Amino acid sequence: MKRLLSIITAAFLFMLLAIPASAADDAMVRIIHASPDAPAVDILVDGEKAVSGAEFKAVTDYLTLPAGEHKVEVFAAGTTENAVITETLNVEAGKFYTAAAIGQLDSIKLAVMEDNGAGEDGKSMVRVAHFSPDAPAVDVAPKGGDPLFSNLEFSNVSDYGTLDAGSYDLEIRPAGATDVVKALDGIALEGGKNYTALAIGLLEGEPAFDVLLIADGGDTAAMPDTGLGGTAEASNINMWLLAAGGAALLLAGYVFRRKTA
Amino acid sequence: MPDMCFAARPRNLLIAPLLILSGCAVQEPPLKSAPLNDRAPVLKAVPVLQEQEQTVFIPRRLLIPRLDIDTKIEAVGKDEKGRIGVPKDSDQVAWYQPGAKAGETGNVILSGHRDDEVGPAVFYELGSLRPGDEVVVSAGEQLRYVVTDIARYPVDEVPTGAIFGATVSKRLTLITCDGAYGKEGYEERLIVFARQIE
Repeated sequence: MKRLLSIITAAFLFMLLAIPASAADDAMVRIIHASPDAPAVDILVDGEKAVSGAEFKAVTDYLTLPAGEHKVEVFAAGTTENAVITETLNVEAGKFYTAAAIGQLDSIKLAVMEDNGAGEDGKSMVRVAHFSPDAPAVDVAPKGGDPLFSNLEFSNVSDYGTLDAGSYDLEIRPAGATDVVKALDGIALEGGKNYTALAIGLLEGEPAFDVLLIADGGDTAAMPDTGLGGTAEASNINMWLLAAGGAALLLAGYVFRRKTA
Repeated sequence: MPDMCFAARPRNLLIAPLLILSGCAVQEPPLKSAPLNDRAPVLKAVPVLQEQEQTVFIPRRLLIPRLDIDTKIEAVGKDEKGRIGVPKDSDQVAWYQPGAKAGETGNVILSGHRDDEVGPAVFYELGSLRPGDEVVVSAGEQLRYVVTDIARYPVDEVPTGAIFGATVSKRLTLITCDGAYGKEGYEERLIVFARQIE
């Protein structure tokens, strides 16, 4: 009897442990390959493959991870030894993050930023990340106008700034100068969405300097209540039968043990 | 353009240096992310006009040839419990307004009932879709999506990031109920992921 009890206790404890974390306990993390000379990579989170064969400029969708610490390992695609990056990432529930592998391969590192997912109607929040290892500090400005973001150096990301939704002609300049490193015509910002503009690649060499504009975060919701049970009755009866059967077996086992004890 | 001149002085936004750690050291503290400020300052710039080139529309009708589904789409937001809304008519499908429109970069989210009180509803057979099947949405114009994945999750373990998070792809997601019917309703969700055919 004792043994039976301990089995039941073990099963009960296991059920407690197996109670799923609610979605509100999760964090959302996406990964960007922004290292110009690094090969395509596989990315493991807590030892499990999360991303396969991501190439330079690849932006993953947001992965859903429980809040807390996670081990992130980046390998050349197809390999499982000599990780190019091994980091512990600490993420909070309900938040969105971007982790970018940046720099040349010999000095590759992971830059982690929290993404602002909360949008405002008719407005966009925008920030700039400088991930071009050979580019000088830069300003980002409307064409011919005063800088919106100033003196941003490699491996840094600006704070978010708010703009009206719409399309903008911007330019990237060396900090404090008026010549143009790159013209960014027709940067389209949709109201209610936030964006990160990532300057990546190499000013001198390949892959060439480029700017990726990506939307950030998202507006999460709980799952819809898409069933009222009209087709579930049959399976419910089966479950009751199963439960009753199980109880009968347990009782039989108990009686049997009592008799043989 | 004249408005641009009112952008009087440069906005020197604070530049938050990221905590970046080199890859090889062992005893380093966990990475922390650059914190968010409570408010994003308003930047001074005015948009230029740009014509819309892509096909983007609010989906009004859903066609899934393999399942013989051809139904109207209602627009919904969140319900009082913070859940994706559901269609009033269980033979119709709901488009989640805060998600993407058809044709947009982002995720078009459609929910439909598995059943009502008495019997099967529009998405009763959704689980028999297979990768490669086509899903078509229309509203005058039409766009085609191809199914890439079908998965079932306990209701608290759905991949929130992949459904609601920003994406650089043009995607569409179909959601319905699945699993056992318990006190809180169905205990799982069946989720079909699809990608726009360009």
